[in-house]
Formats: sequence, C-alpha cells, structure tokens
Amino acid sequence: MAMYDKKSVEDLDVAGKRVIVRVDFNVPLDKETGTKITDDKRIKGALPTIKYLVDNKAKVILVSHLGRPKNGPEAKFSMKPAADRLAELLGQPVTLAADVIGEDAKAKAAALKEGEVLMLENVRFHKEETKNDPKFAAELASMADLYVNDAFGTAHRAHASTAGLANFLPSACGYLIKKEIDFIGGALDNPARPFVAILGGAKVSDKIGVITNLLDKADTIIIGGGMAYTFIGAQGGKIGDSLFEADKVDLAKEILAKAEEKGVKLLLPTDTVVADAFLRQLSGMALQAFSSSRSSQLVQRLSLRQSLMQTAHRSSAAATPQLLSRSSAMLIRFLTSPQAAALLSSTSRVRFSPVSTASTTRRQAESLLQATGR
Amino acid sequence: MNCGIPADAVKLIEELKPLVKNAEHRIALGVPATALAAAVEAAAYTNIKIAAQNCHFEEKGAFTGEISPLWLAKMGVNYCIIGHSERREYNAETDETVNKKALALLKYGVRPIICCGESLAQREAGETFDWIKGQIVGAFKDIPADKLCQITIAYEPIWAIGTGKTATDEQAEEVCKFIRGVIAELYCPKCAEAITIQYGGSCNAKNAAGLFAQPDINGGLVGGASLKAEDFSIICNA
Repeated sequence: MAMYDKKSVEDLDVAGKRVIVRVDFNVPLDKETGTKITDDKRIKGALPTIKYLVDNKAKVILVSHLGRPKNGPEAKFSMKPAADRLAELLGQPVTLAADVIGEDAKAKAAALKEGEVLMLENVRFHKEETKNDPKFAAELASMADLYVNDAFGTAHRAHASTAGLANFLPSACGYLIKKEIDFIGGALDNPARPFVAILGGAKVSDKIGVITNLLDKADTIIIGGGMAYTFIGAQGGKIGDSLFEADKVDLAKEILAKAEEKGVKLLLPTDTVVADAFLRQLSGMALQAFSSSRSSQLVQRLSLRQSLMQTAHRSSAAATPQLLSRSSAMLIRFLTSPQAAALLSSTSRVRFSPVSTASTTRRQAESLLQATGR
Repeated sequence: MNCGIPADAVKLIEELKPLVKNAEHRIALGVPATALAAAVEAAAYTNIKIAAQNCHFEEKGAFTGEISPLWLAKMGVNYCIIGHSERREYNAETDETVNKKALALLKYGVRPIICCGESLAQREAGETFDWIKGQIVGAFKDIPADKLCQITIAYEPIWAIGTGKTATDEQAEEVCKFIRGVIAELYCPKCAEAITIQYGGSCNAKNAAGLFAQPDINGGLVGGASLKAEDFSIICNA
C-alpha cells in the first residue's frame, strides 16, 4: 500500500550534508542522582540510523526530548546522560550543544565535519516545540539540509521537531520507523491467520478509529485495560468505580454489534482483581489475578457497597488454576479495607489481613515477590 | 468558490474520508478561507491534507482583509494555492505577487501550489510556451533549489477551466514536460525530478487516469469534480 510507501534514510543523498535526526532518547533516569540511565534501549534503537549516517559521511545533528520540562532549561532534563551513553555505544565523541536553537547550537552545527555527531539540548526546553510553532521549526531546520525522523515513540505527536521539520527540509524516516511501517503495514495488509489483535489502554474514545479498522482485518480482538470497563458497563456488567466513559456507551455497543455482524470475536475480561486503591506498582503483581468464582462474586458485591475504590484488571485468557490459587494468597493481603478483609476472611478459606497505607502495601508486595522468588 | 461554509466543507471531508482511505496519491483539498479551521480539524489524522486558496505575501502589517501566511502555518494548513488564473484575472495577481507569496509560504513551511496557464487566444497565437515560461521564471525568482521538493506547479490552461473542454493527454503532457524543462534550466536536471507538476482544467473521473499516466504529469488540480466526494475519490484512486 502506497500509504506506507514512505521514503527511508537510504533514499536520501546524505554525503557531506547536515542531517537533523529526530530520535527518541527519552530515557528513564535513576532517582538518586538523576544522571544514570536505567534503561538505554531507546538509545540503542537509534544506532542503526545514526551509524548509517555516520558511515555515509553525513554531519549528524540529533534532536530529542527528555521528560517534561515545564519552564525552560533545567539541569535535571539535560540530554547529557543520553549524549554520554550514545558516545560510549557509538565509540566516537558526541558533542552536546548548550542550547537548542541558540548561538551555541548553531555554531556547533555549522562547525560539524563529515561523520561527526552533535546532540542538541532537550528540545522541550522551548514551549514552541509542542505547539509545532512554524518559526521554531524553521529555526531548527535552518541548521540542517535534510531531516530524518527516527522517533517512532513520538511520531504521533505533531511537534516542531517531529512534524514541523518536514515542512522545511527534504525528509525521510529512519530505520526504526521504517521497521514499524513494514511490520505493522505488513501485518495489516497480509496477516498470517488467525489474526488476533490485543488492545489495552484507558480510553475508548482514543481507540475508536483503531478498533473500527481492526474489525475489518482481525479474526479476534481482545480488549483489556481500563478501556474494557466501558464495554463491560455497556453490556450491563457491574464495574464499581472503575474507569467508565458514560458518553461512549453507545459507541461501545455499536462496536460490539459490528463485531458480531462481521463475525469477529471480541473478547473482554471475564474476571477482575478488586482492590481498595489502584496502585500502579501493584498492577504487575495484580496481574496474577485471583478468580475463584466465589471470591469474585463476593468481591463484586463488596465493590458496590464498600469503600473499594477502583479495580485492577486482567483478561482471563492467560489465567491458569495453579497461578490463580498461588497468587490469591499474595493478593489478598493487599486489601486495605478492614471491612473487606473481614468479610472475605469469614467466607473463604484464605486469611485476609488489611494493610494500612499504599506505600506499606507496595513494600509488602515487593518483599513478598522476592520471598516467593518471582 | 464553493463549500465556504465550515459545515459544508466538513461534510465533504467526512464523505471523502472512507472513499480515499487506501488511495496511493497524496491528496489535498483546497478550501475557502472561512472553512479552513473546520477543514483542518475534520481532516486531522487522515491522508487528506488541506490547502488554502490564496494568501497575502506579508506576514504581518496593515492589510485588512488579507490572510497572513504565518496564520496558515500556525493553523496547520499544509498547502496554499497561489496564482490561480481567476485571481490573476480578477484580483490583479501578477508574477511578482505570486513570487512574493511563494517565498513567504516557504518561509513558514506551507507548501505552495503555483498555478500557471495560457488563454485560448494565446494558444491559438502560438504563444503558450513563452507565456508559461514567463510565469514560471517570475514565480521562482530567488527560490533556492532545496525548496523545490516543497513546491507543486499546477498547469491549468484557462480555456479548459470550467468549460468542460479538457486538454488532450498529449497537449497536457507537452506543456508539463516543457515546464519541467524550464525548472531544469533554472536549477538543474535532477532538481526538475523533485518538483510535482499537476494538470488542471476539467480534470474529472473519466480523464484522470489517462492524464496521470503521462510521464510528466504527477497529478491533478481538480475543480468542479472535487465537489462530489464520489467523483473526487475516483480521481484520488486513479
């Protein structure tokens, strides 16, 4: 499909040219010093494109964002850790400019020699970036002759450094984006069947277009995550205080009807984990859901009346009996409502002990995980 | 001058979207200024880009009633048609103003669609090529070679606009090839490859495929036929 017929970096004539490359170096940093990268996967991901450009004698200017700086330059959002790590991985020096479109950046960009790499400071130091301001994009573009976008992670954002640059320079996508286009494009055009699509995420409204398109292509669609509650609610299921988009119920019903009409199996979770508070850190463990039908019935009744605030959630597709009974022992400990704990203890064979605070809960969960060797 | 009421433009876009979902060509819809904002929003996240139909060449200043190219850029309008023969005839558009507008649009990252074309009298007097060359040279003054990839030229013979009298494939190809030659002369042969050249003038669902098959015609600037989603989609999928 020609919609996917996008130019790649190999289609550009890069020798001797200044190429500005949008990369996704939004890497997680450690909490103690804020300068150690805890996962450099994204930097490694950009290496093929950067290496290609270096090998083909381009003058490489990298632009990326890191975190969400609120008010201009801030040391804790500097690209320095990323620049240093890249230098290590590339095996050649990476200069870091002191600014993004300021004098230092422009001077350094102009002074680049073939095969050298310059990194601009965090592009989100300028509010104009996320607004896709044309003048800001023009400033960025002025430092280069060509533009390559290899930041798949931000490709959906129409920002100056992702979309704006293409309005000024001949552009192409890097290897990362090309891979995604080839893979997803291929999967959508000519999937191996049976083709199962698994969707997560919180909001139905964000995913409508995707779901509707997938209904024409997939054999089965599995919907999990916060979004599933709206579907379950639309079917008349009880979901307590979970995420629910009331104004999307009709839409959800429409999708369910369409799926049935097209013979697409639309699977929603059949059971759920209930907790007093939605603790992100716990959700990894919460995935080891409990679903003995008695306790889940109890919990469902509880959720209507008691102080249980939100439910964590998973699809039963991956549940197995052993996993469930082992993990139910773990999870049960983390109900924070004393009433819930008392009620469940009195009606099942497992001991429930209430926990007082969210942080206590998390620590207990972590130590328990360590103890059980998971 | 059609679909200037925002709701009408949005209606057309909504009808068009599913019909052109899998089109291979790049698609842009030229929308009157009053409907631009609504059109940009309706076409967001689709393969339909939005074009303005005119703009001013100054970014700011005392020019009541004019449209600043900077506004178009900030609104996310991707293209702007300039030098349409109707504006050249009724609104005193000259090669000079077209050139200034092109430069201003390029400055802010809005892609110009530069129109050129001869009248029936000129064609009959054999003045077509000289006339077109003058328009192109005038329009491209001071435009650097690296911006050619952002520019589209639309050849619209005036005698074919709204008359139902399309140029033959050969006539259209002849002039578009000539235009590409002028660009090659002004810049370089390789540069001439980069530029998109369209044909316009009673381009419709029936003749589109034949026209687009010509070696130097990269697409069409479609007028009346674009008002019906069904017809336009046939052209988009040609």
